[in-house]
Amino acid sequence: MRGSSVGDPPCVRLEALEVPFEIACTGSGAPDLARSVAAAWDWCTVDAPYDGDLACVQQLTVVLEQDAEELARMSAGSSLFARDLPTLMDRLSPMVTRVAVNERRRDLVMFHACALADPVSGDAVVLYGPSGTGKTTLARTLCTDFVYLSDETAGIAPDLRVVPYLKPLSIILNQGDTLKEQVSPGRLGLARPEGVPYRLRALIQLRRDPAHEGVATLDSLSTVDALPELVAQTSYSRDFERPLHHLADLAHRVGGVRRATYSEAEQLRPVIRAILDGDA
Amino acid sequence: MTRARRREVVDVYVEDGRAAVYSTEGMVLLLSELATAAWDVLGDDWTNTEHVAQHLVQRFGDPGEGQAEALTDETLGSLAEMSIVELEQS
Repeated sequence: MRGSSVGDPPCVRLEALEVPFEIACTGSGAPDLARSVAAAWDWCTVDAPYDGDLACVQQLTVVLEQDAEELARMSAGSSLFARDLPTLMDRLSPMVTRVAVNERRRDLVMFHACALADPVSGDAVVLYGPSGTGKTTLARTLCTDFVYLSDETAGIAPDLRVVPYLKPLSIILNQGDTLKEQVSPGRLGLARPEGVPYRLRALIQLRRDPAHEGVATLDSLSTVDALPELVAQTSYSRDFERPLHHLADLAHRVGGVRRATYSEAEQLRPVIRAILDGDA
Repeated sequence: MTRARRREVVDVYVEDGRAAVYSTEGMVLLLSELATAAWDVLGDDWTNTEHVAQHLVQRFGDPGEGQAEALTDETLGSLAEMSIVELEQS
């Protein structure tokens, strides 16, 4: 967190999917807002100013202002505004994701997925599925052993490198809360990437079945059967040249798509361990 | 007489006789083997549905008197509902 010079609003620098951001926090609640953003996004923050093309830096201006008249005045030209901190924090996360995904749409395949990896080998598993299939819960449960790469968006480079997106996890902490709290993965005790290059090893379609008992089951899908859901969970797939072939090729390079059926996150741990050990 | 032709699609992927078709409406549709074969006969130009029926009979056998045409019409009708085939009475 920093201010460029005296009088500038506090600003948080971070990277999301390797896209540089500067989040200027304004309004009477700016100091609290900047502290909260820096704390929740601590695994994405960077200290030094971006040393590449400054035009690449995504500038977001976020206003936290309790006074309605002042908020109306300041909201013009802002990226995001609210009268209370929880609302603002809840809305910031999808905005950063949306901007970052849009910026990487030409060079990454991005799945709506939880991504985790073996801390030693760097082999990574991408577990994709629509909202409600438990991606955040999986990350929260399994990434105490496996390295946390994302609970939301897995970016895959052409060489199968998985680009970490170490965003805060959006969690409803108390029953009855309507807004999710943005919690740093560090605060949850998750394992942080340590500079090992992470490489995609498996693509897993998530299927949550509350009636499922025992260890999660893993079924191989034919690529043609996997494509509808794979496309549905891929951002900007239509921008690819021959998108079905592009995704099919990616699937073939990691041995095809598998579907995991489970009810509780813990049931997936041995299955993922076996995949990463080459036993599944 | 009814004739049919393909509508523009984003991409088609075929594996083991079944196609996934990415429509311009942003949906990925999974076709049966029969629908894939019917789709395969069609092109950008109009094709009589009788010709499609003949091709399907050659490929899958004759289902019985009058059934080939009915099944073909039903299949092409489904593809038209998915907006990946255009039908026209000529």
